[in-house]
Amino acid sequence: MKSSEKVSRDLDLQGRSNRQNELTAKWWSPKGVLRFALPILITGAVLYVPIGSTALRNNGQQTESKTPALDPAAMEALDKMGAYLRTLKSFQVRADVSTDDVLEDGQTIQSNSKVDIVAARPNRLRIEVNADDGHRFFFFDGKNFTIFGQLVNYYATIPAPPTIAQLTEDLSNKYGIELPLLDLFEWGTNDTTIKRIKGAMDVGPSTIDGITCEQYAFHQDNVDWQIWIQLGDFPLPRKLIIRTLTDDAKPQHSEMLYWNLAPSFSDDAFTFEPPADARRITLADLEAQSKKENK
Amino acid sequence: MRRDMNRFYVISALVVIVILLSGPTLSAQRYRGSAHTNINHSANINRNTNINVNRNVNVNVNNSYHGGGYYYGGCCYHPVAVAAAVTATAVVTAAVVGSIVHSVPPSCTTVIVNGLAYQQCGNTWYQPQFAGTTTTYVVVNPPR
Repeated sequence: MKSSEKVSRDLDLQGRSNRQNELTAKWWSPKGVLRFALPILITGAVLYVPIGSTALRNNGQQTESKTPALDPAAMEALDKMGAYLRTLKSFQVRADVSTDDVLEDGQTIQSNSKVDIVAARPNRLRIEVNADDGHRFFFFDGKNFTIFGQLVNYYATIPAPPTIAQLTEDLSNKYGIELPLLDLFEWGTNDTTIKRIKGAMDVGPSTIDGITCEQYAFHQDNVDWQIWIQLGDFPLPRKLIIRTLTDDAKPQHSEMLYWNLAPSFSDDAFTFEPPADARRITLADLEAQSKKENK
Repeated sequence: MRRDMNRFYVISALVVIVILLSGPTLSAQRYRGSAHTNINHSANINRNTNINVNRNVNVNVNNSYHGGGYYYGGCCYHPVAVAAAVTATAVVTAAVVGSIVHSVPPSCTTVIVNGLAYQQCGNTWYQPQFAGTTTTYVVVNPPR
């Protein structure tokens, strides 16, 4: 089978090169160029439009006929995981995170970071992010929020709202800060996140880092995402992949999650004690700035 | 002879076409966007615009001894914050007050005024700030 394929390919190549040899005698003369270029251009122009439009039409039909199915098992697993996460009074999760950035021409560039979160509900948080582009810390002790950039040795502290949920909202809307692994704090808190899901499927069992999980895939308006949930009595998310659909390059974000459900910490852990040489700066209120700009 | 000329025209035309088709000229690539980092909580913030890709460039240029210059956060700044710079009034300093930069010259010194750090670079004063998780420097009037 393989040899016959090879033979036929060889034959074909020879045939082509023979023909080319005949043609090269005159191909570069103006007449010759015209003789070959014109038919190609004309057929190209004639074929291009219909092919392009049918391709578009086919795509349109495909997306229309794609009926969003919500597999009840997948939705139930998500509910169960959310409810379980809400029972955790405190936890530590370490994560290997990668995120695609997209260049102007559509090429994606991946950046990586290691994240370490210690959370004590409802109002204490300590996050360390060691990324390609910096090493930063976030502290929330129920009263103040601090961001500390170790490389610049700057920190900024602002009075904070009373809960983690309100804090993440404020940081995102006013200050342009998205805390990492935010979904861990969203699941199981409200129905709106569930209602956004347009498609859900149970992919099947999958082993992540030696732990047997069930893999699920979900579709929403702007993102497709997959989650690996540990099987058994501790339905923890072990892996999460989010694919952004609003950019043609479909950049991807992924998190590998490593859990510690019995973290040891003192209350001081959540309050920022500036190193002697660290300098305080401000945290820009970007929302206020953009409002001012729009006036 | 005439045949040679014809050949010359055809070949030079092909060369021109090849040059035209060989794509955009080499220039620094910039970011146009980024992946969502969570499912439901997407901040209305456009990261990454107008910043060169190469991390090494950023580090080498900006990692100054005084700690004021390191371009922390690498890739990202907030376009809104930059746009806001345009409205500021100009005074007689080396740089326009209100304009925002990602690094300051290496010769600057850190000065603390009312507990906040400033970078003084000759007659120009910069106030460092976190814009999102990125450090930017706003040109300000002398704080004292």
